Amino acid sequence: MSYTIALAGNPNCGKTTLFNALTGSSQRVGNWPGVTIDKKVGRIKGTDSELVDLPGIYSLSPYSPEEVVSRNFIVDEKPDAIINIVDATNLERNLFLSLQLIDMGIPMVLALNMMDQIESLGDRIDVDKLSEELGIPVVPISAAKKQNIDGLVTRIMSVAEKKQTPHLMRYDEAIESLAEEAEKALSGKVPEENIRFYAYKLIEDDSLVNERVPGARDAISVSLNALEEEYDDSADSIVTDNRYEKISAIVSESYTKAPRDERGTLSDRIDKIVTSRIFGIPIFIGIIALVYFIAMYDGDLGQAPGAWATAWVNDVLFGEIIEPGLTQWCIDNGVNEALTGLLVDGIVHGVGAVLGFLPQMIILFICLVILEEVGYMARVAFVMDRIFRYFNLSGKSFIPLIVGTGCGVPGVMACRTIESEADRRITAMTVTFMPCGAKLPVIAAITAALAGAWWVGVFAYFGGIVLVIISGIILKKLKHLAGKPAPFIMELPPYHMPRLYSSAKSVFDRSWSFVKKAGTIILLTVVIIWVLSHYTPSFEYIDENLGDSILAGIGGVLAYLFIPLGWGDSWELASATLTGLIAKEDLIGTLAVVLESASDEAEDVGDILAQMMSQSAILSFFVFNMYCAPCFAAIGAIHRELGTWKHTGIAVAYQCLLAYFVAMIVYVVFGTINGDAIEWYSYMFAVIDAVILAYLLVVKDPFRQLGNPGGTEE
Amino acid sequence: MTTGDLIVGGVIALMVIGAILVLIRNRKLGRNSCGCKCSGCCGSRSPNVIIEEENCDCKKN
Repeated sequence: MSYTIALAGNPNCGKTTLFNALTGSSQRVGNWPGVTIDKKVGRIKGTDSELVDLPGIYSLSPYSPEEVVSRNFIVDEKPDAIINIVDATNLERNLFLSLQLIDMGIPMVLALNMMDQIESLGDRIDVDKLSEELGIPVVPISAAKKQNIDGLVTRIMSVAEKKQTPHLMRYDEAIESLAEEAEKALSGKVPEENIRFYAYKLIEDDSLVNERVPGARDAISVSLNALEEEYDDSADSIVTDNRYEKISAIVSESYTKAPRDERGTLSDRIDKIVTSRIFGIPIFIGIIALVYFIAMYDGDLGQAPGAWATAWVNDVLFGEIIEPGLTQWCIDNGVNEALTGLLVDGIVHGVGAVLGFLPQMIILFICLVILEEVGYMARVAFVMDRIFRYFNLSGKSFIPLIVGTGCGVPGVMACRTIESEADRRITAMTVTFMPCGAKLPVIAAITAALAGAWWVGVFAYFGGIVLVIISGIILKKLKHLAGKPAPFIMELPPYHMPRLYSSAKSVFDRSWSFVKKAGTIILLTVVIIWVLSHYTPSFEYIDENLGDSILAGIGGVLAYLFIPLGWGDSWELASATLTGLIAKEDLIGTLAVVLESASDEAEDVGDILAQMMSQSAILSFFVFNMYCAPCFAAIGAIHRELGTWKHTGIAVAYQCLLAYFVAMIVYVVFGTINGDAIEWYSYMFAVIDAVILAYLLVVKDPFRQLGNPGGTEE
Repeated sequence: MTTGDLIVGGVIALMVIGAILVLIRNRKLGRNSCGCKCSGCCGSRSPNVIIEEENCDCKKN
């Protein structure tokens, strides 16, 4: 038989791991709670049944988008059975959802996950007793170690086949009596099999029932008021308290804890330092600095492994072997000069300039995957919540920022988990300030241009966070983006050792996706750029004086905009900035084509930039390209979050303007300190920019005290 | 036109056509230019950003 089975559970209780174990899928799994924002479907191995993985939720109340998705699926789609996965090490908290699921009256099995950890703690759970108390089958498993997965499949199939509904949970008599009254009021108006769930939701004044059966609450208002008077509390709090009392009784009957170390677990002890008010931020900065140091450093102390490998790929593999070899082969075989140029200076050089940074990216990926795997990045969100909250932003906004350091598109999409519409829109507009994977070649090239300045990456990372905060302060002063920050509740997962297979797979997938991008979109772009930069508007081939080319004409117009930023009238830099909109890696590919092919010596992008510009101008070029409009894919994602092209256009214009202002200020300040020659108009623009920014930051927020004047918060 | 021209021209044409075909295929399969699906995006360090295939953003780009 074919059944539809729902997989429901709290965030970070091993749901995706169990989904993979049951379906043989390879969805990414991580030590990171809850940004699953939609359901996912797979087929249970060895059966015809479908498994629907629902977002991790704490309850069936519609407080967050995840809860709405899960609840709507269970209520409207009516699965044949539910696997409720429960973290056995957090039994009491996880059972709150279980009790609500039991009320649904749908056949259900409780998968008691992480039983291996219970054993290692020396605790004991009486599975039979727990099953008896809950009135549903309980199957102990370890999803990570794939223990007893077959037993779980057998049990859920049996429950679905027999349509074995749970024994309903009984609470205080007063509540039970009110629930019966509510059931009568709802009879015939909601599905009979779920009537108990609806009855409790009616008592809790839940919008789902109020919308479906308007006026039903009035029918029980007398008894409801009596109950609230008796308990001196609101009805939803009375129900919640009763559920927790029930859970407490069940857990005390079935769970025996071994004596614990008074100092807490190792995770608790590490967290006291890592998330402390004093050390939390310095540790975060130190760790990110160390990551970029390991990947990028090239200075007096020697070369970091990533920098060494990248130098070898650029200088030896491409510079001494592939390019000279190909050029010689073309000469020997009488290949046309233009074709040789397109192949060697265009495709091989352009794509090679981007691919050359792959070793540094792999080192960065390894470090960042380890941080995520051990559970540190979840702590960072917690630490940053304090700072974000201080600036009237929600800590929940920080999760998309972390996601955005991988790729801006899922970063923008992760904003959907933010309940407050104002926070969601602001975060979607600013998440691409974070240095995504595609910006890493730019960071690496600028690091090389600034003589191995490894701090460039750290500057990009924390500069992105600072710009998000600045944007939050400024944008919250607008009526439609005003509002109190949404509360941020996040469970900190325990630290654990990185899993070798999933870590290695994650690093490989990211690296391979970078290679695929180089072989497709970047290859096509460098071909177009080479053609545009080596042909005149009358389509005559030019090998030198690329300033007469079609691209020079286009870039030359844009270049005037960037003269105050110290870029000179370089059409090359303006063109590269433009192609960065296709993919940020294209910025390096374009510079490689238009700068290096015009250079007599085999030098890489960093070296040429260092020769043609002052350090402050290089930094302004870097700042602008880091924080201006993202690639088209990310702009498309922003559009879907903001809803209209008008708002998207405003968001992109805001990003470009802010990037321009900041690049100007950085150029003038760094140039002055460094003793670089800076034109008077740059000083003038920098002062105007600084004054405008300062005004927008300090001007009183007219909506701060009003909460949600625009009515935009959900 | 030399044999070398034909070989190099052919190789370049193959690379360009191949890249275009891969991009078109990716678009049809709902993959982004990185070759990944939005579902479980490998560029993202948050492993649980899961979007239903029919709602995948990259399809609409």
